[in-house]
Amino acid sequence: MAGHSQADLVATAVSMAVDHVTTEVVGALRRERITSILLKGPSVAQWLYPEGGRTYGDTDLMVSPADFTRATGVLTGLGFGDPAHAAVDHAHTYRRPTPGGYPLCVDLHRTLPYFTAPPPEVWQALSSGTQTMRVGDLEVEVLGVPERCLHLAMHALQHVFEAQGPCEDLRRAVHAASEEQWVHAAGVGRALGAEDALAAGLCLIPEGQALSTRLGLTSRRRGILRIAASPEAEGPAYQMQRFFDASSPGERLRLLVNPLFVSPTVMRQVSPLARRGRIGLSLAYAARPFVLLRRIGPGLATRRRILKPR
Amino acid sequence: MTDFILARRDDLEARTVDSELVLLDLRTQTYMSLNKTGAELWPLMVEGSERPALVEALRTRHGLTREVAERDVDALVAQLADAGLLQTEHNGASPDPE
Repeated sequence: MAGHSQADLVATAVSMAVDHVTTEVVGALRRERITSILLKGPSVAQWLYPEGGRTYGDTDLMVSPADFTRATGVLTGLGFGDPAHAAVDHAHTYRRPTPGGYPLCVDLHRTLPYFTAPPPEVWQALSSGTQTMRVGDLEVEVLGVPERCLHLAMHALQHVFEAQGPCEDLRRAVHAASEEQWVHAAGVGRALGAEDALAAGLCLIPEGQALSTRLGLTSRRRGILRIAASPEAEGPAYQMQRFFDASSPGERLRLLVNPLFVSPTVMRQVSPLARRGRIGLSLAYAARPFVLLRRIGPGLATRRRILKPR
Repeated sequence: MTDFILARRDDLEARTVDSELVLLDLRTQTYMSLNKTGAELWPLMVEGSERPALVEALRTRHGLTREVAERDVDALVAQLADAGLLQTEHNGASPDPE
């Protein structure tokens, strides 16, 4: 045997299964005339890890917000169960059990984290520069290089306290993409209200910090980086800092208002009341402002504690 | 009478990791990895090969004695058959004449 651990081989096998699911789902969506964009996965592995070794455990697909509900129907038709971990509104995770014992997961995205522009604008911008890439026996759409760079920077920020993989992806993307492509990425980020997040994500690595400066991105999100890196960090404190970091009154308003209007699927996930039929769902929406208000105090307190000078 | 060894092609994905080969059975979502020797013999089995041809290929490439090569081929074939990844014909005729 060569020098591969069992874990490496399992990860490779899982990536192969994920690729197969990707082609199955993308094909099924196409038959319903739903365009999807494959995020990360092979689009990162093939681009940034030509030597191999970059594996992945699920399929991330983005569809137009207008097609989202129909796309969930397609997934259900393919045997994927009710979405789990749908506590965030940008994507829902669908799972399908396998005889092999591990679930195959599809994260269906309507938008991406940190973009403050409305989801239809995000889709419009990201879907306008796509490329195609071969996965299995299918050509699938993936983000263009500038949009991929933007996504990788924000993905590193999103998972800053988890594995090192997203930062390594970003480090490679900083070197692999041209300065022009990063300029384009910054432009898309600004247009979609994600400049601050892009700057913060880039600042997670030294090469990215220098690039951020060259791109003229201001790193106003030092606070969010400290919060993200803190073992005390939790959702409300993070959201509070995003609010304080917001670059415009409009962005602040969106950060306040968007959580009130999560989809019914998300509402059922986060609220037991919402699972009690239509009346329960309506009551859950009515109670939502009060639920969120109750989180503000603890969130502010945690934020203050983390940011307190030491 | 010789055994004709033919790998299953349907619902099977194969991916090389350096010199090893990972096989994923899409019917069961289970995987098997083949070491360098197994990975070398796999393409011959995908095309379809007689057992003596596999033994000879192993002997030639690795300078093994016939006895050792036969033992290794038989072990590999048994392992793949157990996993449901082979079709084995016992009449010496290729099941796919084209």
